[in-house]
Amino acid sequence: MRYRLLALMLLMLVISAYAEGPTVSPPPPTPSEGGGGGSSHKQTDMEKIIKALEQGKKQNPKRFEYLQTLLWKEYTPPGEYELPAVLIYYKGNKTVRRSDSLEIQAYVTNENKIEIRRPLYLYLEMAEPGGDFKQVNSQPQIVQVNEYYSSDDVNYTFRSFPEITDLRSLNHVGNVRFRIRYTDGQYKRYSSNWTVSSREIFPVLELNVINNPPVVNYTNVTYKPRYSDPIEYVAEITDPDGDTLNVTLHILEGDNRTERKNVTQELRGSGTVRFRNSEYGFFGKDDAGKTFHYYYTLGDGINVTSTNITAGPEIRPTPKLLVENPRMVAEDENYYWWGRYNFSIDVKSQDENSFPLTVYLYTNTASNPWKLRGSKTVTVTPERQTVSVETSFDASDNNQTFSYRFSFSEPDQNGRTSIDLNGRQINPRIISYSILSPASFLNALLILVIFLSSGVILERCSNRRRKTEKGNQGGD
Amino acid sequence: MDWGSLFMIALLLLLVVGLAIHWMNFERIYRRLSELSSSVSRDELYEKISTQHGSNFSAMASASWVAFFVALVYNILPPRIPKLLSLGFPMIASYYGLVLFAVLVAIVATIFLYVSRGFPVWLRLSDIYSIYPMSLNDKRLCTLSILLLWISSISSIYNSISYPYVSWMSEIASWLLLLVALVLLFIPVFKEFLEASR
Repeated sequence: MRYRLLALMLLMLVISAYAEGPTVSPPPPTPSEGGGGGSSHKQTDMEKIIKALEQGKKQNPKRFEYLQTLLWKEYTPPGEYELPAVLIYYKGNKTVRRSDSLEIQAYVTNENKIEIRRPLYLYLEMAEPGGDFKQVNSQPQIVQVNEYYSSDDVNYTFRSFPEITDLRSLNHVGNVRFRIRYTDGQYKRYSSNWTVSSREIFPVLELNVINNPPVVNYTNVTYKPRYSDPIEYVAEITDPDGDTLNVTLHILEGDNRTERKNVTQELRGSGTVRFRNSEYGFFGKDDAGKTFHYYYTLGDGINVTSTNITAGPEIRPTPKLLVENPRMVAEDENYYWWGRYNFSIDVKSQDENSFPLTVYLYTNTASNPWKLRGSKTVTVTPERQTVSVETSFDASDNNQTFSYRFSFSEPDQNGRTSIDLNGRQINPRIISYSILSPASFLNALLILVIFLSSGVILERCSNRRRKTEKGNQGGD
Repeated sequence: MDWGSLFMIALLLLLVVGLAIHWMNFERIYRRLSELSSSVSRDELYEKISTQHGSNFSAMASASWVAFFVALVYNILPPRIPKLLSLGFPMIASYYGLVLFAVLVAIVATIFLYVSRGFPVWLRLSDIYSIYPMSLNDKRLCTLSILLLWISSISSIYNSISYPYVSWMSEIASWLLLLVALVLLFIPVFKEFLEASR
């Protein structure tokens, strides 16, 4: 700018001379004007020049512009200014996964002396596979004139680009290219304008970006639930790239072709996905007795992978269970806690089919609420049969009223899976043997033995103690 | 107040009276000796006047005192069996639960009686006979107390087995036997006291 102004000033002087006609010598200074006469004369000339320029600009603007062009002088820095070289510095593998951490740096060398250096503004540009270069960093990395290291007469520095740490945002895989655009405020260059051969420095960095498909590990739903059971599809998924995955469960009908339903859950990176029947309503009452298949598809934004078609679940047919006459018979009419109690129930199949059935017996007292006392598994046939569980109570149940529950593995004719009934009060007696029983006699005898044994032990210990004390006194 | 509580009070009273008389007997001897020599301590006097009545009698006397504590706990046990069950002591209801209970009480009583030999001289329960001259008859009476305490224990066991259908006759008999046994255990003490009073 300074040089431009100087050029303009010179121009003005020329125009001024041209506009004013022949130069008139200034009159000698009068006493009244004093020593400041010279300055006043220069000021007058300057005013004239400015006026002439303003007049010329108004009257003939084209000529004025031509004059400007004519007098324009390109800026040349002092000394031999060399445009700094900027290249890409990258140490990593050139085949990378999208999730791999990436560190791309600018390597800047500047041969200019500090007096003539200019700040450099660096922009990283990336070209996706098959695409054009686009700027990556919104704010330029700036290299100030004094921010260089010196080594072997080379001034150099590095700049990182924190905006790019990995390539997760890529929508395609393949060759990804990087270059650096830079400017010193006057000139604009690219790193690709330079040629260099080095293992870690590149004019254009080309990376081969690959995608790793997610890995799925799922549990087979091969057991035979009822349609109303909690059926759950569980899959453990690991994505090495840590992508956001769309995990879709496809449930196929028994023909292995028709898709009954598909549901999708989103998963970031790795984790477990659960698809519950109670949540999505895959199966209903009409599906009892049918077999289904399923598979998963996993999309990571690049590829969609699918698992093998797997069988499951095979939903159990709903049996026609008839339950009747739940009852309890005590061995002893006194209802002692130690007595044997027979809890039984009649079962049969309402059609020709046979099926396994497990009957659980629970008893309930204040001391032992709903304690499982036993279970029995039978094959239910059209023939009526009695399922019995024999048990007794605990000593702590004495003098308490009990109730009991039959629980079935299949729903009965009313859709129930358990029946609760009230029992009776258990006898308050606690000790299970009588005074005339052998146990009672043995107890009595053992107690006498305990008395005598304790006396002998105490006497022996006291005698030994006495002797020890006497021995100590004798010693003293 | 029920029978059990009354008998319990009576029993404790008798125990305290017995020990108090034993203390008075010992103090009387100590006072007399102090008139002759003031430099003798109670423990020294106890050591000097202690006489051994034989290992058999000592063992029987110790057994009697253990039996006294076991029988006492048995007497107060029946109404507390449900509480023991709820406190996580279900073995009391098993076939040998009562014996195991007696073993536990006997161990505690034995340890207590052994440790009591370090107490003041008049509190050494199983050792009170050593300062009294004892006739064979006295020894037999003391030994008889074991039998009475055993019968008292059996009577309590009967009530425990029958619980909650407790026989009041059996309960009173058990307490009475316990009282009589305690009197027999203090016979030498009372006898010495009566003789000294004359």
